[in-house]
Amino acid sequence: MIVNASECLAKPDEAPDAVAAPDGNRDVLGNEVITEGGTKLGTVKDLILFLGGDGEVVGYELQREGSKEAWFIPRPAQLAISGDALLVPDQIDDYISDDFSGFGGSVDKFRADHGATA
Amino acid sequence: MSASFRSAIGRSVVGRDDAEAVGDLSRFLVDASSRKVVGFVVGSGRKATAYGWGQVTGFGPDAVLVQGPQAEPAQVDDAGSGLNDPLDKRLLMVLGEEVGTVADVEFDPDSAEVLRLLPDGGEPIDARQLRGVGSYAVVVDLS
Repeated sequence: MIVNASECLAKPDEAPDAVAAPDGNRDVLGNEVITEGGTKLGTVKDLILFLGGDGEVVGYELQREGSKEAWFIPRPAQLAISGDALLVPDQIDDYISDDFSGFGGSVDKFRADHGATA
Repeated sequence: MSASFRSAIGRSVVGRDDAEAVGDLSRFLVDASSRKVVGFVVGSGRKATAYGWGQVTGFGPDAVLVQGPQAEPAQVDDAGSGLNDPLDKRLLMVLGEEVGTVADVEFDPDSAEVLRLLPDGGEPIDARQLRGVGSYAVVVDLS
């Protein structure tokens, strides 16, 4: 990862709390992804970032039970998040894809259908 | 759509507002007079808590989502609430004849209506024949 300059780096005790001491529930890796209807979609294996700008998280890579393939879902404004689970709207199920090359299209379609903060 | 008590026991209960795992569903609470599931218990023993069915916002194959505060343990005690779980209870006819035990119960998660009692080794019993669910037994009228 390339940053603008070495001055961007900060010592842990000098860094903002959001970076140096984030809440425990901010780490979604390994979280179960559950729809508001009570269906488990998988667990969060990785985050998909949009390079450039603020490094916005645009989706998640999921590990689904019974599948060795990587699955991707657009990131909605999740309903709730904790150290245990990440709740997402039911309609996100329609946008799950195992095609990373086409994932940008899934994100665009999800946002077109439901808005960026659906 | 119907679901069964047995298949739902052990399912994770998750808070809709904070995504916190509350615990695992341990038993259902049934009101025999209305033939409705009125709630369920999470956990067991002194740490058990309960939710009313009206607090359920999602009832899926993997998790039950709930909203709002859970009841105090004392409020879900069988003797105190008058609400009971029919599973594994003796199944008695109205004249006292024992016809088995309740192996499972089918219900409609959307309406909370109890649909059928499934005895061990017998024909399913329509819930309209249900007369009572007590701490000792479940009473049905098969006449």
